[in-house]
Amino acid sequence: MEFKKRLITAFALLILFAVISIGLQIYAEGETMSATGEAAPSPLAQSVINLTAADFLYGPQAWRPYAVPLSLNTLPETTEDHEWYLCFVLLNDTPYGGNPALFKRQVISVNYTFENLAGTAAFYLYGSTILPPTSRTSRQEGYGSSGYIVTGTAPAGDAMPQAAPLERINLVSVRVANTRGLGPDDIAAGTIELWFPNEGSGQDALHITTNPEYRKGEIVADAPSSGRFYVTHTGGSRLSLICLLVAVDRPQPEDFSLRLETHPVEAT
Amino acid sequence: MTTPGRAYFTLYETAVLSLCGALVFLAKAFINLSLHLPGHSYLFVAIPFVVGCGVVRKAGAGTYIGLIGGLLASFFGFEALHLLDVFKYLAMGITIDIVGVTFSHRFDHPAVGFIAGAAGSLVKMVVNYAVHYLLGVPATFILIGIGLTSVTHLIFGGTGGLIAALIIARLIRAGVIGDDNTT
Repeated sequence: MEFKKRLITAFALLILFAVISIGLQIYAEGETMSATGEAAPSPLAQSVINLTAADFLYGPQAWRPYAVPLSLNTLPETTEDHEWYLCFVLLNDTPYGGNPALFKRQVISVNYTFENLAGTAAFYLYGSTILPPTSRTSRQEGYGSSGYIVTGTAPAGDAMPQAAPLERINLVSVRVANTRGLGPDDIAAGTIELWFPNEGSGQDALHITTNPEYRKGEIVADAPSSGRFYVTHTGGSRLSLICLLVAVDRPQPEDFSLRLETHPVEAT
Repeated sequence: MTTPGRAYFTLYETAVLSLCGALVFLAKAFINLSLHLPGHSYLFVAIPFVVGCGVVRKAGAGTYIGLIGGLLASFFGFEALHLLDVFKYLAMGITIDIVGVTFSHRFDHPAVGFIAGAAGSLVKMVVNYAVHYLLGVPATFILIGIGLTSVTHLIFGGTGGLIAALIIARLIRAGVIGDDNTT
């Protein structure tokens, strides 16, 4: 076969590969929709979310999900083996901090109110990009780190029997606490996948701050039991969902409650 | 042509290929662009692969570069599954070798460079997905991103190969490397 024909054949094979891949992607997207053939329902999240001690579905554990597990014990006074209970809360909107010509830039305002909080509660962020569907989380140490920590004075509860530790892998399926009750436990709408294929990436897009002007976030270690913080986003990858991780370092009493109210706020 | 009893690669060729293998690792590990697109790093990774194959012009040159780059990535990589990187780079090198043999090692031709970079990048992507699948990531989850990822790997890998072909062509014109495998 002459040189030119080989070139044309090779280009045709490359294009064929890309076309087949796009076809596979469309097929896979169809497979992930509901069995009825209708579009898969997005996990339903409300603007106002009320949580109790029973909503901490994971733990006790000293780490949170990432490509390599991230320690939850980053405060100076906590020991490395201190264990936490985790609650994943899906927010009803996503921040965007990329090119304003492409999408509306906004941050998410989160008003929170703890009642009868025992010990320390810490907020972290998780999110997923649209394509490829890899996850993002807030950086907790080093440049660009952010976090929000609240301390309560209520006596600790007895135990949290509903909680079980997460698997220590970089692809983990977690149930979000605020979509429970929508159907059977195994419905897709009640779970989200957190996938971090590469260590070192996925930690610079999501941030927590008390001032939306600080787009890279800040660490607040002594926040009041009631207040407001903002979820900000930097970078160009748009997010399909945002999930708030609430971690508490001891069993919560029966009368514990956390009220969250979220609103999108236009960013400058 | 190699003389019976002598090494397949000369000392000079081994040195060039080893250097290119090291550059593959460095390009992947230390050059970061904030493009947020899968496969964009292969814009840089494809260059030493194709340049090495263009300089040496022997079957197995790509495999050698992939082996060196893959071993370095496996031992010193930063990613979660870096121990298995050797398979990715080896597959990319073998693919570029196949492209080289198919096109008589004409890596100075921009179209051949593009094909080599794009094909190598796509095969590396497939091996990467296969590794994730074998380690338990659900196939549906992988396939959801495969369309966009294939296109970006094709474009970035191909562009890297194209740049490498232009470099090779310039080196040949300048007489730094011969066009009949004399160096």
